[in-house]
Order: sequence, then C-alpha cells, then structure tokens
Amino acid sequence: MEKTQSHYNRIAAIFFLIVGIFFFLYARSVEIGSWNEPGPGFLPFWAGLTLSAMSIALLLGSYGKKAWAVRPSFFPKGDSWKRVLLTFLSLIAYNLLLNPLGFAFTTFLFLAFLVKFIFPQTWRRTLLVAVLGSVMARLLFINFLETQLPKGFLGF
Amino acid sequence: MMKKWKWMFMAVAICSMLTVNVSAQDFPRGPLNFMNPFNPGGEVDIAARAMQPYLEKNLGVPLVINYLPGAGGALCWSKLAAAKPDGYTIGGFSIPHIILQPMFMKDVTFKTDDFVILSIVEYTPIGLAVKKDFQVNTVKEFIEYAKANPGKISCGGVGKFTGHHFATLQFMQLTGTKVNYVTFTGTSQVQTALMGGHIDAAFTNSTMMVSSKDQIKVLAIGAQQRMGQLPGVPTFEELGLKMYPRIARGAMGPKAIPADIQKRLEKTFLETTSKPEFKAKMEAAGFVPQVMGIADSHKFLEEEAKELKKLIQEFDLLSPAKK
Amino acid sequence: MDILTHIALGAQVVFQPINLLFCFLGVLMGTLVGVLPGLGPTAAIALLLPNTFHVAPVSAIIMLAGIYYGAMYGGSTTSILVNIPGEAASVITCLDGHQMALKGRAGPALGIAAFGSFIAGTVSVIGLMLVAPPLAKFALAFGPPEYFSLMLLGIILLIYLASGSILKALMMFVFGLLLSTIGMDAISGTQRLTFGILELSDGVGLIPAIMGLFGVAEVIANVEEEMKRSIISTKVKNLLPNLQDWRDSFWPIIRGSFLGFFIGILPGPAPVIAAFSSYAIEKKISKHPEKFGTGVIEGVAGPESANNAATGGAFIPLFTLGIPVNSVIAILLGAFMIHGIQPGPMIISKYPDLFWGTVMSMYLGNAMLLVLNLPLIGLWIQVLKVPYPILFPLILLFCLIGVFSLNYSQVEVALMIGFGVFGYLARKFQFEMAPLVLAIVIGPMMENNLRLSLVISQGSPMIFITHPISAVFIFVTLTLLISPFVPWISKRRKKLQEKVEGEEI
Repeated sequence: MEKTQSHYNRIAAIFFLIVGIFFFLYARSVEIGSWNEPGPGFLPFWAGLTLSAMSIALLLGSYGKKAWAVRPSFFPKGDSWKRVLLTFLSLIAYNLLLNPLGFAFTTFLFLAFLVKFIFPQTWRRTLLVAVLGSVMARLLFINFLETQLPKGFLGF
Repeated sequence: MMKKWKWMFMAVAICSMLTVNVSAQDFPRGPLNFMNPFNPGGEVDIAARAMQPYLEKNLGVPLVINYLPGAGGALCWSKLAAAKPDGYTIGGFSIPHIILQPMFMKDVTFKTDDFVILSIVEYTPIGLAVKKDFQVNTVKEFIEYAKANPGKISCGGVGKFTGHHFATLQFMQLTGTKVNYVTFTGTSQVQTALMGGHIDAAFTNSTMMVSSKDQIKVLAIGAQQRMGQLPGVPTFEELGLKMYPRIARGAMGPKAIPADIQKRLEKTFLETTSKPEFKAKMEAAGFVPQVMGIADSHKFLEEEAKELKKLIQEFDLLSPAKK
Repeated sequence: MDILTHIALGAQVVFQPINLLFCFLGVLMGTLVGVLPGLGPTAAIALLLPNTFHVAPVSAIIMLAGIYYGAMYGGSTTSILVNIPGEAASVITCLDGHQMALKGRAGPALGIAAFGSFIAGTVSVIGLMLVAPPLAKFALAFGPPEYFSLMLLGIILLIYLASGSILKALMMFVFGLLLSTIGMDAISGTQRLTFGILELSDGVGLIPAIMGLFGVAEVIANVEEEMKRSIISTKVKNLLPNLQDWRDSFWPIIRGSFLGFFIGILPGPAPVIAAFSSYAIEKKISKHPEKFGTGVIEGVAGPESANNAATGGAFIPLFTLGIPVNSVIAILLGAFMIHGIQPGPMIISKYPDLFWGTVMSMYLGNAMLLVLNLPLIGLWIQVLKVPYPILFPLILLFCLIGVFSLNYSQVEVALMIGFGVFGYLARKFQFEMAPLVLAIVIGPMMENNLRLSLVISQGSPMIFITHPISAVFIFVTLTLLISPFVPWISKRRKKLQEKVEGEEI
C-alpha cells in the first residue's frame, strides 16, 4: 500500500492542530496576564495559536501539487511492526519491573528477552550476553559509580 | 561447553560476593544531596560551598549540591517537602520566603511546617541599590524621582512573596511610591542585570552589594546599624524608614527525618558554623553569620512569622490589589 | 612580556607529577561520564572532589577542568558511534558524525572531533588570557531583551537552513516551546500541565527528551529495518583523518572556535547554542550545503570546536564577575572559596597565580584529552563491530539506566519512552528533531527573558528595538524571514531545495 507524502502531512497537521488548540485553550485557565505583566499563560496562548495556524497552513499545503512525492508505506517490511512493538513493550516493562525485581535481575531479563526474541540468537549467546551484560552493568553503576539502584526482593 | 558455564557461574558468584555491602554502618552511608533553590553564585550557593568542606569532613561523605531554581524557591521546596525523609536529601531555605509563599502563592504544594530547620547559618540584610548611571545618589532623591515617575523605575528582586518582594512592598508603603517589581530567579541574575544597567534599581542582599560595590550605587541597607562591610551606607532607619528587611538562610530537611539523624545533622552544622575561620569568611563576604540549632532556628522562624503577619496586617501589604 | 611570565608560572605549577595525575583522573572520569548517557559531570566531580582537599587548590581545579572537557568529548563519542548524544551539545554532532560512522569513517570523525576540540580549547584559553576583562563588560551589556532576540535569531537561523520543509521545522520548534512550558512557572509559581506529578514540576527533562528522541527512536527505527552496519568493513588504517579531511576542516575549526568562545561568555546553555550556530553557519557558507546531513566532516569539525570553545568561554564570567554560569563552574567557585578566595571582579589581579594556574590547567586538560582519546578510537571502533542484535539491547539498557539514575524517577524513564515513540513517528512523518530539542533547551530561557523584558518595558514590545544589540539581532532575523519573498534569493533557495529533495531519502 503506497501513500503519498501529502497523506502523512495531513495526519501530522491534524495532530499538531489539536495540540495547538489544546494549549491555546489551556492557556486561558492559567493566567494569561497582560502585555506589561505576562502571566504563565502568555506563551502557551501565543505559541498555541501559532502552532494551530501553522498546522492549518500545512493542511492546506497538502492539497497542493508539490506534496505528491510517493513515500514508502508505514511498515515497509511486513511484520517488522512486531519487532517495534515488542521493543517498546520491553522498555515499558523494564521501567515497571525495575523496582520490584531489582536492578540486576530486571536487566538480565531485559537483555535476554531482546536478544532472543527480536533478532533471534542462540540460547547460549543469549545467556552469555544477558549474564555478562547485567553483571558488568551492576559493577559499573553500583560499585564504581555508586548510583543508588533498586535492590529488589532478590537482594542484589 | 561445561567449562564455559562453570566459569560464568564463578564469575557471577564472585561478583555478588564482592558487592555485599558492609552494612550496619551509621548514617551517613553515602553522598548527601543538597538542593539549592536558586541559581549558582547566589547566597545559598556561596554559604553552602563555604560550608561544604567542613560538612564533608565531619560527615565523611561527599555533599552534592544540586540546583533547582524557579518561582523564588517554591519549586525546590515543593520537591524537598516530598523527598524521602532519610536524611540524605536536605536543602537550603530562605526566611521569609518559606513563610510567605505557602500563605500567598497559589499551586504551592508545601507548607512552612513541612520542614525541620536544622540550622540557620546566616542572614543578610536587604538594601536598596541603583545602577551606576542612575541620576539619584540618595534615598531621598530616589523617593522624589519615584513620586515624579510612578511605576517607571524597574526594581529587580528574586521571586514573588520573597524577602526582596516584601522589602519592595514595604518600601512602597512607607514612602507612598510605586515602582515596577521585576522578578528574577536568582541573585546572580539580578546582579548582572543591575551591573549592566538593564534594571534601574534592586532591593537586594548585603552580600551582593559587597561584591559589586564598584559597579553599582548602594543607597541604603536594612540593618539595625551600619554594616562594617559597607562603609558609608546609611541604614533605612537613619533615613526615617523603619524597615529592617532581611533574609535568613541555612539548611533544612523534610520534617519526618528520624530524630537521631536530625541531631546528627544539627551537630554537623553547629560544629561548622561555630568555627571562627568560617565566621570570618562569611563576614568578609557580607553575611551576618549565625550559630543556631534546631530549637533556636524554629524559635527564630516563629518570631519572624509573627513580625511578618503584623506588618502585613498593619499595612495591608499583600492584598490582591497590590500584589 | 608579562603574559609569558604568567604562562611560565602557570606551567610550572601544572606540570608537577601530582597535577598530571589529577588531570589524567579527571579526564578519564569525565570521558566516562560523557560517554554514559545521562550521567552528568556534577555527580562525578562531587565524588572525586573530596580527594583533593588535602592538596593544593590548583590540583582540584586541574581535575575539574579535566572532567569538564572529558565529559564534552565523551558525549561526542557516543553521538558519532551510535547516534546517541551524551548531552544536548552533542546533538548536532549526531547529524553528520553518525552518518560518517555509517560510511565507515568513524575514525576520522572521532579524530577530527578530538583535534577540533583541542584547538578550540586552546583558542578559548588564549582568549581567556588576553581579553577576559573587556569581554566581561560586553557580556554585561546583554540583558533580557538581548538574550531573547539572540535566541530568536538562533532559531530562525537553524530553521532556515533545515534540510526539509521550513514549515515543519518551525512547527517542531513551536511544539517544543509548548512542551517547555510544562512544569512550575519560574516567575509566578503556577503549575502548568503537571497533573499533580511532582517530577514534572521542573519541566520535561532534557535528558529524557534527548535519550528518547535520538536514542530510543533511533534504535527502534533500526530494529525495524534490520539495518546492516557497514562499519565492519572498516580497515584499521582509516583511523585518523586524512589530508583532505584536514583541509576541509581547517576553517570550520577556526570559525567554530571563535564563535563558540564568544557565545560561551553568555550565561545559559552556551555549548548547545554554539554547536547549533556553528552547524548553521558552516552549512550556509559551504559550497555543497546539500551534503550536510549525509556525513560531511565540516558538520563535525565546526560544531565540535564550537562547543568546546564555549566551555572555555564559560569561565570568563567567573573570573571577571565572580558569577558562575552553570553548575560545573559553580563547583570551581566553591573550590576557590574553600581557599578563602572571594569571587568577584578583582579575582585576576588579586590572585594571579590561581588564575594562571587554572588557565594552564585547562590547556593541559585539553592536551591530555587528545592524548588519551586518540588511541582509544581503535577501541571504540571495536565496539561498533558487535553485531547489532546484541548491541542494540545494550544501547537501550544504557539509555534506561542513564535516565533513571538522574533522579531515580520512573516518570522520567516513562517520558523517555514517550519521546521515543514520538521520535520514531516523527521520522516516519518526515519531521526533524533538532528544532524540537533546541526549543526544549532554550524555551524556558526565551520565555523568561521575554517576560522580563516586557515587565521592564511595562508592556512595550519596542524594548527589543530600542536596545541596540537587540535591534541588530531582530533586524537580521527579519531579514532571514523576509528573504524567501525576495525573488532572487528565493530562486537560489529553490535551487537548494531541489538539490536537497533530489537527494532526500
């Protein structure tokens, strides 16, 4: 499925338009202030307005001739979206698991998961990377740099 | 293949052993975090850095100074009130800011009694200074100029509902004038703006006056008597203005820090601030050094609060109309 | 001549073995800190500083200088190798530096960055020696209106030379401005869009944003494309810049050094502004501007020199006014005060040996950085040879830990992931990230200075024109804005645009 650049521009324009209007409206709930005493809403108001105007310009421009350059479809290689999604999810999981499971263990799981499931490597390689990676990270951050990272229920 | 596994297990085991911390150590076991509510180079910064070597020696751990300026200190204090009360996070404070801001600022998430004041280390009287090429040389001339040009003089200060702001309001009330208060986030900003002539005047701290003596004109200082570090500068009282604005500073932490850790920190500060060479350094910079522990500091806080409330009521200083 | 005696004095101090050791330690620590994304020099300095209490102040200062420069350079290393900027100033280095790495020219990129930084550092030190006091006066002339206009000019300059659509770049910039308003307002204390989350009170963090937009997004984009890295084919021979590289880089380095030094005097995120400005200028002056962004060495040489020179220039307000412009220099100030030295305008005349010792130490720091890092280039290249399926989880790990260890905040990590999503989508939709980053960096300053200016002028925007320096900036900004409508300039730009579009993708 092929899309043109104008299509992308339109979607983006609408996104930014919404953002711009949001800030513009939000600015009114915090004090906009006056020209001689600009309040916290001053910049959001004007910037929101500007962004909205620019979005409309982009939107209008997307109906013009120049933007018909063909762009590859969103996910060119079929099921690559799975990799993207999995990677993002693993990041979120890391963030959530860091405190309960502790730094070393979470790191181990994270590395193992990504190495094994995104561009699959052998189990041997996976374990090697995961263990070495988490051990080195622990040494570097906790011992050498004395950063305070969560210990988790496993105690290390 | 087996060998590799064995090797890995050994490595992991050794590493974990190496990293078992010798626990059962007293406070502090790691670096302390000192939160500075203003910009680098300001009074809190100078005082903190003057104390730093003594504190670090006393406590045996590093003291990391972090800056979190904004909203006249309110940003930092909001965070400090919510910080873990384990004694590892402390910060600088300014009186009267921590009294006035919770009272008058909206959206502020801390209250004055969210904190335990470990020690008041110094205070700086606030005075009035103008830029070098401003056409007044005395407070009297300043007042005349202000009356002739209401709202035209730009007068800088740090934050809203802070010592500087309050001093400005007090001055305007006592003299019946109106100046234009310009809000900065730190003394160093006010300093450069005044030295560069971008603002006309400033109500600012004695320390800044001492360090910029040659580039600005100091008109008056809000102390009980003239300050040795500022020869030739009259007090407001001498000029008939009964105002003694000042800002007191030191270290504080969230209230819930365990009592024994509080005591330990208090001891550290007291030992630092009572050293003669420390006092001498502070005085040379324009501070009025203090040696106060927790109890004294809280007493001071209460008295200042009472005094402020009196002034506010008497002069109706912070009504919405005046802002 | 007076200055020579001073240099001799400083050199004498600095070349003692213990000081050399401290310098080395500092540089090493600094580079490590710079390479690891998110870890700042401040913490590193705090950890090392207590060890210096027993020695002379100059030793402490030498170590500080080492850390400072080391961190700057370390940030460039990751920018070039894995497209992750170590700090904001390295964002620009990513643009062409990483492209060079992809073409197998990581070595020359790293080498030019090192040499450029060294030369720039030297220039800034000389500048510091010769012109410190008059420059300080110049810096004082910058007040709120001047800052605002300068930043406005900087933005327009950058965006005008964007490789894609100007409109889109401007939109990203304004979006960034809006994002930068999130948090507690610096002037009034009102919470803006923080939804009660305390971590958001001091705004959307810069590091989470950079890590997300450049680090996470880049990795995920690569994961999607199963990119094959051609670095594996790099021969060991190509580790250093060749003669052509030197010829191409010579003027950018010189220009970058001077530009960076002057910008460094101004308080604020000087290295960032210096790097962005240098890139824009090099692109404008270049005979082949359309090649910028594909891996031209000028795009590395200029900005790298500029940001290093800016770090040198940042010392000036300290020595002349006694005012530190960032937290690292504030630590230097603390070191002075520990030894009873009062910060203020008189510092150079009252304590000449300290000043000159510091100056020489900065020079030494730069030199040692060069010595330390050049051999390491070979080592860094080895890192790139790690197969991507194994490398990318490690990169992501560094991003995660780096951001988390800033404030031990899951909120910031979540922000980074969010920026990662946004950055990934932005690439797909052909929006550039540099304007966004720039806006987040200077947004708060712009807003503050705008509001301060308006308060001072009591509501009159004329203040931006009545102040001479500000007026100059505004004039140039307007000229750049209007020029698309002037026919002959517009034709030239169209030609440029066509060239760019032809080479896009």
